[in-house]
Amino acid sequence: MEWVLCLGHVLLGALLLPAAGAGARTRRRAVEVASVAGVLLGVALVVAGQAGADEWRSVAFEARATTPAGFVVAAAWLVTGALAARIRVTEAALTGVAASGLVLALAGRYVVPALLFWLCASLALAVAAGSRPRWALLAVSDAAFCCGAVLHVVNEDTWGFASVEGAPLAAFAVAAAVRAAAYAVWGPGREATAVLVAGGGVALASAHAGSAETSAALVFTTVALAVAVAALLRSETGPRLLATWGGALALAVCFAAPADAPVAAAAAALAVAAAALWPYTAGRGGVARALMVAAVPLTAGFVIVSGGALAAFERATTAGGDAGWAIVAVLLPAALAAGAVLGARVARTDAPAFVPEAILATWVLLGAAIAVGIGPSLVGNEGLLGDSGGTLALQLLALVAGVAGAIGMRRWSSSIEPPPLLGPPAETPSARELPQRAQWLVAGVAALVVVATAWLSVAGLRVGFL
Amino acid sequence: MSVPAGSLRGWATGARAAGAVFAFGFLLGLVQGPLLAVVGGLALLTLGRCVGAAGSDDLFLGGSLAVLAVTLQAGGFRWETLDLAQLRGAQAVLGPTLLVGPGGAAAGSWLALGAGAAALSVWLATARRSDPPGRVVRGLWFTEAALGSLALVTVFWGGSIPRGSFGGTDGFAALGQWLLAIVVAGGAAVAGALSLSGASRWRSWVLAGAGAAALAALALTATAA
Repeated sequence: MEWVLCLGHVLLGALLLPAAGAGARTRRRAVEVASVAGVLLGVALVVAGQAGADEWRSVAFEARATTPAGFVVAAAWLVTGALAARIRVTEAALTGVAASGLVLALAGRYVVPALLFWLCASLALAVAAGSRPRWALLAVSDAAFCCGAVLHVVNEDTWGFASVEGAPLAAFAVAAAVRAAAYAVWGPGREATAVLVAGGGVALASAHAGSAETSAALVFTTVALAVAVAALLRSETGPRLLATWGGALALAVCFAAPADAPVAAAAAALAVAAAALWPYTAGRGGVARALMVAAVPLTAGFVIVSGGALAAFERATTAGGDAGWAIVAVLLPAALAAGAVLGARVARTDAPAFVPEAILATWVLLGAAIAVGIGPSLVGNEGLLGDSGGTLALQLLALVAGVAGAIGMRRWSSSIEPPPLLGPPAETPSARELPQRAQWLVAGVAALVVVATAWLSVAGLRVGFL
Repeated sequence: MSVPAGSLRGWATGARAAGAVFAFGFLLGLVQGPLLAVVGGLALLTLGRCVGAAGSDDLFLGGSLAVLAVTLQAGGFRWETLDLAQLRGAQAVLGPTLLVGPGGAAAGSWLALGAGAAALSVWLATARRSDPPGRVVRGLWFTEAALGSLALVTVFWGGSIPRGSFGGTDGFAALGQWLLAIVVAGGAAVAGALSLSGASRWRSWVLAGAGAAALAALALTATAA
């Protein structure tokens, strides 16, 4: 039944297509049912990876690939279902195609099939994304991914696609960074597609980061803090901030502590999904978003930031320690402070539209983030605090104290001046149209990617790796 | 539809309570864990404070927490560990971080403690600005001051009470010394906070100075250890 976990999403997409011509109510119900099934498939993929399911064809169900893939596709389907009344059936169907492609690419054991499935997913995402700037983003990312795959094959003289190091990993880091930054240029609309693009980028880094890389960890940590500081100084909080901040932090942890990379990718997927739902959560979603932005204890964000900081500290204090790791070890805890301030501003920033399903989905995402934060062993991570009974008891006690404090203050606060609200975030600007030359350049890059993939496939067939 | 402000204040208070419980649990040794857990608890507490902060007060709260985190990390670099039990154990054997050589590490530790106390003062002064009057509120503020000073004392003047000596003269002396250190550190932070409450325009300078001192302390302790 492993094939269901891989191909189930594209089957859901195919089953949705006949509903494209139906009435509005039928279309919505069809999308909602497919989304529920898609979320369950994503969760099942995570569980299968943890349990060490059998291989299927060229796919290996290893946790480092299936955990991030499962979270990303589940988050994308959750967003699709929450916005079922607003999303087109064709976009939902393409979500299914892209989800299957992503799963097969990330869990693939060999370079060529993984690359082919990745490009299939990109093609589906490009059709769903529906604008040239977004195509450009996908083309640049895929070019970097393709370059990394070719370098891996040539340098390592292997067709296997386990962990990657050196120049190929640097190329993957570029591909991941371009995708993770998708929200910075995405513009409004196509939210589920944005989740697959941005979350897929971090999942790519998670699946293939074979070794800790000082430069990459330092760059991404610095970018995350720069994003936070810029947002705070310019008083700009919005979905772009949430998604970019979460993606950058997750990438930093992928390269600082590869063992924590699956959890980092999972946390990034949850953050990007929360960002996608933000514009539709007027009145009720602020606290949930805030807790996911802030990377505070009891959430997945704290698990990854503290895990990355501890790993960097240990490398910095071993014999011949690197100053770069010392800087990462200091910057990541500083990110906790920045996250606290960002979270508070996010909590006080409202949204323009009210969609009850989106609010419910945001709280589901927070529930998943807390589940991973309190019990990281659920996703195969020991976590900074371990999983002793005392630690669990303290976390639960803190959670109870938090809920009790919240309820108590709500009853007492009628005589107290309420905190100042910041109003809804500014409208996300639409992605700018590309100049003519840039469009030709993007087309050229895409063509090169196709040619390189074809060359690699032919080379692989010649040696008979299939 | 607008955000229900009363609900927001409720959640902010809940975050403060959760953060305080979390941090106290590790600092009091109820649960073994790393220093980063304490920083995380302080971050959750700061999140709750920032929700009710007006103007740019949240920037001061976050900035002072960042400086405090750096100073605590400086202590961790001194002993090359972030584990609280190992920090306490090293100090129990060799003495408080502030008094143990080499000279560069000790100087860095003193600098870090001063920076940490200054940052804590800024945090407390800023938090006080958004507090309504009342005994309970004041009590919570002093509790947060105690939490911050406990974190500093644990890293810079900590140490386990020798086993078997509890009840004996040595045990009570060690306990008394520990409590006195918390009172001194907390008192200094509270005094600084009350001073800054009346001269809030100095917050920026104090925080900037504390930040520079914290980075210098980090460099000293990381290289001299």
